[in-house]
Formats: sequence, structure tokens, C-alpha cells
Amino acid sequence: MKKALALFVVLSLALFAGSAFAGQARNNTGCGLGSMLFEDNADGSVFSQSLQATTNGIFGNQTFGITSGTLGCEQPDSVFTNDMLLAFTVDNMDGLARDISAGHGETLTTVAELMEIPADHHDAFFTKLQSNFDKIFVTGEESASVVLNRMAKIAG
Amino acid sequence: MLRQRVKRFRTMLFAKPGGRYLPGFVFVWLLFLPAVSMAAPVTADQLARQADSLKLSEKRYWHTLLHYRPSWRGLRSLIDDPEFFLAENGKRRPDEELAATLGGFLEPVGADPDSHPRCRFPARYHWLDQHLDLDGKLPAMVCPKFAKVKGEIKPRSAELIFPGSNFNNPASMFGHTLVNINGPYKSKLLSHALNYSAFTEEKNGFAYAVKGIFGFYQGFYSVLPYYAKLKQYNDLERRDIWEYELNLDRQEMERMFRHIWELEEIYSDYFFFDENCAYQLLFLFDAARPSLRLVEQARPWVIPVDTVRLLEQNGLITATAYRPSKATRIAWIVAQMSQDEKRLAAQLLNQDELPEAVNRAGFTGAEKVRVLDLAIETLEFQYLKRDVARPEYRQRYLSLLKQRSYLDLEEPAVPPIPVPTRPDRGHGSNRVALLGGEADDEPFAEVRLRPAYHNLLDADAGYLAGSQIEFASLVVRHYPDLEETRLQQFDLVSIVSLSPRHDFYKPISWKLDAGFTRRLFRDGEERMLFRVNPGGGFTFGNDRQMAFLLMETELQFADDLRDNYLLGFGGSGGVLASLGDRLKLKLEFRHSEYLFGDQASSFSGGEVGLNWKLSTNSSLVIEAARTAIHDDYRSEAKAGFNYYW
Repeated sequence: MKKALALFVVLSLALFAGSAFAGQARNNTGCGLGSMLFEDNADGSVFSQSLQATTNGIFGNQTFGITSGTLGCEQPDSVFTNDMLLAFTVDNMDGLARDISAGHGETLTTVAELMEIPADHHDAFFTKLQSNFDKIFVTGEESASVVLNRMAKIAG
Repeated sequence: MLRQRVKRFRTMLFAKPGGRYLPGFVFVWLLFLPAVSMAAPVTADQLARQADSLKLSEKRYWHTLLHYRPSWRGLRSLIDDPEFFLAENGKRRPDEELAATLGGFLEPVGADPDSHPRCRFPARYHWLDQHLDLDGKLPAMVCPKFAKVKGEIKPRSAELIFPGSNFNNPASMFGHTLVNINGPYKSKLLSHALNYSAFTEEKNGFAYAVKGIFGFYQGFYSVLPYYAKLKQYNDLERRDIWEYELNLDRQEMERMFRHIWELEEIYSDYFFFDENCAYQLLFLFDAARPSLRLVEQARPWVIPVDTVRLLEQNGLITATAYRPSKATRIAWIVAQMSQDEKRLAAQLLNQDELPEAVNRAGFTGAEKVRVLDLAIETLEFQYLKRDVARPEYRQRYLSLLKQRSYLDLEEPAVPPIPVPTRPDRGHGSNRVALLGGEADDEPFAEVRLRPAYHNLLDADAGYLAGSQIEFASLVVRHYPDLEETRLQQFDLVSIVSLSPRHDFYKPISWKLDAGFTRRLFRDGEERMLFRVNPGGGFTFGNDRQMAFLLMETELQFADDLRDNYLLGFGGSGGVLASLGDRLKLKLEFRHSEYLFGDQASSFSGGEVGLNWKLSTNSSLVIEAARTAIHDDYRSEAKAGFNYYW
């Protein structure tokens, strides 16, 4: 029976091993669409929920404003002094583009809140953005600050 | 002593914002220092005596802050990192740790105030200050790093976040819990998610799994923006998320934040089953609200959903929100679409058509939106999984979005996704069952005990339909006529993941059974054997009605088998259906040809199971099976009662 138990452990663990863990730090994917985060185990591997591959302490580089999201992407001078707005936009470009194309969505609402646009102006702002989608995202390679600048212009 | 005090005072002066022009005055100050210090002399001994007389080291809150728990030889802290303790015996001695902490608070401040005990352990300081008036006795001090980070996080309120389980990821099977620290913003995306998880750089999956279960890894807390966690759980790992709003007020959040700060870079040995994420988070709530006793109330093994129940019982939960995963959103859009819409969406994804094609199909606005939204969500998902290269993704994504931006509907193109039953409102994770039945005309009574968690026949409310996860399930049978009580079955683990396929998502279904079970041997006797039974295949249908077909391997071990083992191959198939709100039905057929070891025989069997839900935590069950092993036919039927808690 002992042999059997040992074999069971080996077999069941082989199952887990199949989806071997591959820890990945954030990829520096540059600017524009598709530079979304690949945190931790982007392959959704077996233990990914309970394990992490980096430890920078609790508050390592991971709070807003000092996010490393703005690394790897040259940002031209921005009219925005709000670090959080820029950091959030860098990390959520794809969601923002999707929400603008649909004229609504949580990512877009969040950006509007950070731009300090009053809630009762959101609908009008979003409609304007939607009809100007192709003026905001022309190549899909625009950096976050370019996108934010274009959005601000549309907001008027 | 005097020099130390002087040094502390000087550092303090320089640390003040306006301190830069002060050096010239320091000399003058120094002349007066002895007198100033004499006015409020306080020594570590005095503080310790005062703390002793108040019996502070015996107070429950002190034990909460230090994570002390009773063990078989007195109190022991669950924190394993020596950096967390100022006393050498701090892990076991609350009194020595308290005295050492007070001593630490009196230490002179060095060049780096952030590493001073007062800045390292703000929750301890704050609590001791309330009892000993430390602020009145010690010089003022600022902790720049603490102030800066707190200013960024701005803790105002909190939510418990529960990402549920997902198909095909065994590690997610019990779900997970983390805490969202909300700042002053309306958008939840701007919250910070606090996560307790094990740390490793292990690349070998095998070593990794063993170590994870047996506590070889160190667990740490970490903070990430909530949106990053959503991308991981909600998008990539296909897990629906539940958000439980908690009624912690600002003062309580400050207490929690101070305690989180103390755990910066502090490790505890991580145990997958008990000292896990769900258990460790309970200390934070106890620290936030001193009247809570969540850690004491927790079961020895903590399943994340039990944390939710515990918080609810203690009146912490005020509201809930459901955040469907990307996979759920995709499946929902697909369910609303006609065949024509699906065909065009597939063509867009295969690049047989360009997004402009939605205009030629004679579709209504809503139909166009569904086609485009499905293509957009699916393309994003493919990119997340790295099935599509970035330049191609960018170009295709942009052209789909551009087409989408021409469509502005008054009404949403799909109705809102129906909110399923909350995970904590499903049946309890423990189960006991009492049954009576007959096996080949021999009456028996059966007791089943299952510490975790859910099987295919249990009511789905709150759980993932088509999933089964059972651990350490025990079945004992008593035959009154034979005056015999037998162990019938002991499953180490039994996992089934039936994941229905649709046009835009084609997952694999699989199962793994391993454990001891009673089987018929060649001599006509029933005996225990050890069995491992993995399988994989496909499931069709939906959450309510599904049909499955799996290829299976069967491996058995027993001393009485020829060569002590048996290896067979075969398959199983069946249906699983929810009929109405209360009834669940399972029909299953299995066949295996035994080809190696104790070979030249086969197994065939069919079984039917019915579960009638009486209440959330009780049900009636009927099961019948007919099996043929070694051409020896046996049948049994039983009925009984399930109770969950």
C-alpha cells in the first residue's frame, strides 16, 4: 500500500507539474494599445492565485503614482500633473479605447473622474469622445499622454 | 544615556520641515538640554512597570497585533519572520515582546527614521500610546515613508474580494480572498488590492506543488492596483468576482492600515490548507475592529468562502456586487445571438471578413453591436493568452473599435447578466449524509462524511455548475444482517470539471479520482483497493443541462491483485441536468478494459443519482447503480438525507 500511496502522490503532482509555473515580471511592452499588464503568471498557471514571483514588500513599486507602468514608454510633456491619471491610463489603454468606442464603460468613467469632469457632464463628454474615436486613436500607437491630451481638447 | 538623548533630540530638530536653518541654534539649545530632559524623564523600565501593572501583555488586542495563537505548549505567534519581533523570544512570549517593544520605542532615532521601531510598528505604538500616553512622554517623531504611502493609498473603506473558482485551474478551486482598500474615489478601479500569497522563484512545477502544500514557502502581503488584479482574475483566469462591501469606518481603516504596515516584508510559512490567504486576512479585520474575534471563530481549515460567511455573521458585510468574468460576458453575448450573427462574428475573428461587413448584413443596430462586441472581447482574450501577436492585435483591435464607435444605441444590445446566487449563500462546505439501501438484497446503512466541498449532484446555487471538488470523503457502511461494519470508501481527492463548449470557447473537461474503495475481487469477495482514475474529454450544453464524454485511465493497487496492480483504459459518458429549482439528475455510464497487471477482465457500470433540495443546507438523495466486474453483476440502491454546514 505504501508503494501505491507514493505512486498516487507522484501521479497527482505530475498533473500539477504539467502546467509548470512561469513567473513573469511586468513586460515592458512600450506605448499604445496592447501594452496592458501581464502581471504575475500571465499563463494562469496552477498556483498563480496563491503564489507570486516577486516581492518588493507590500508597497513596493505598486501604488499609483509611482507605478512602473510609465516606464518603457517615453511620455512627451503632458499638460497633466496628475500622476495617477497618467499611470492609470498607461495601464488601461485597451480598456479605455474599448469604452470610448462604445461610449460608456468603467475604465472611461474612471478616467473622467480622474480628469475631474463632473458626473453630470459624463454622458455628453462620452458621446463626444465616441464620435471622435478615430481622431483619438489614429494608429493605436499613441502614448497615454497623447490620448489624454486629445481627450482634453475634445472636452473643451 | 545623555548623549543618546541629545542625539535623539537633534535628529528630531533636523527632521522638522523648517529644520534646515536651525543648526546655528543647536549649540544654544544644547546648553539647556539636560534641564529639558530631566523635566520628563522616562525609562524603558518605568514604561515596562506601568505596562505590567495594566497587564497589557495579556490583553487580547496585543495578541492580535502579534498574531499569537494558543498552541500545545502555550502561546505562539503564527509569524515566522524574526524581523517581526524585537525580543529574542518574541514568537512565544507576549510579555517579553511588549517590554522589548517599549525599549525599542525609546531607542535613539538614527539616520533612517523609517526603520525606527516607532515607524516600523505604528499599530503597536498607537495601541500602547492609548494605554501609556507615549506621545506625552516621548519626543515627537515623523515617519516620512509611512506618511507618504498612506497619502497615496488614502484608506477610507474596505471590501472583501472573492474571485470564485474557474474551470480547469485546480488551484482556484476553492476561490480566493483579498481585501480592497478603497480611497476617496468613486471608481472601484482605483482601489488597492491587498493580497496574501506565497513567494517563490521555483520553476519546477513538481517541487512547487509539494512545497506549496506543506508550508515550505513564505507567505507575504502585497498590494497591487485593483484593476491589475481584475485583469488577472476576471479576464485571464476567467473567474467571476464577488465584491463584499464592509462597514469598516475611517478610524478602523487607519488601524488596519497601521497593522498592514507592520507586516511589510514580514513572512509567515505558507500552508495551502490552513495558514492560507483566507486565514491570514482575518487578523487584519481583528486589528481594524478590536471587538472582533474572527481568528478565534475560524475553523481549523479555512476555505475562502467561509471567510465571507464569518464576516457576514459578524455583521461586517453591507452590500455585494457581482463582476462577471470576460468569459462569462462572452458566453452571455453568444447566448443572445442568432446563427447569422455568430457566423459573422466568427468570420471577423478568422479575418474572413472586415469589420465593415456588419453594415452589409442587413443587421439592426443591436445585432451589429453584439457581433462587434463579441469579436472585440474575444480578440482581447486571444491577445491576453498570447495567441495573437501584438502588431496584428493592435491593427485588428483598432479597426473593430472604429466600427463600433459608429454605433450609439439608446438601449443596451444585450440584457444585463443575471446575478447568480452569492457563493456564501450556497450550501455549507461540509457535508454529512445518512443513507439506507440494499446491495444485492443485503440491507445496509451508510454514513458519509465530507469536509470539503461540492459534488456534481449537490445544488449548484453559489457554486460553479459542472464542478466537483471533494477532499477526504469518507463512507462507512453497516450491514445489520451480517453484523458487520465496513469502510466502504475513502477518497483522497475527487475532482471533476465539466466545462461546456460553445462556438467561441472550447475548453477541455477532465476528472481525477484517487482514493481507497471497496471492489469485487476474482474470488467473489469485496476488499479495499487503492485507485487512481484520471480522465479527459468534452462537455456540451449549458450550465443547466450538459452531456459529457470522457476518456479514462484506471489504475488499481492491491496485494490480492495479480502483480499487485491493474491498469485499464476506457471511458465514461452521461448527462447532468438541473430540473426546476430543486431537482438535480445525473446519469453516467462507464466502461474500462483491464489490459495490464491483473488483466483479461473489464468493468462496466451505470448509475443514476437524484438530489432533491429541501433547503440551502439539506437535501434528499437517491442513488442506484449496476456494475459488472469479471462478468459478475452486482446492483445496489440507496436513499437518504444530506446535511451541509
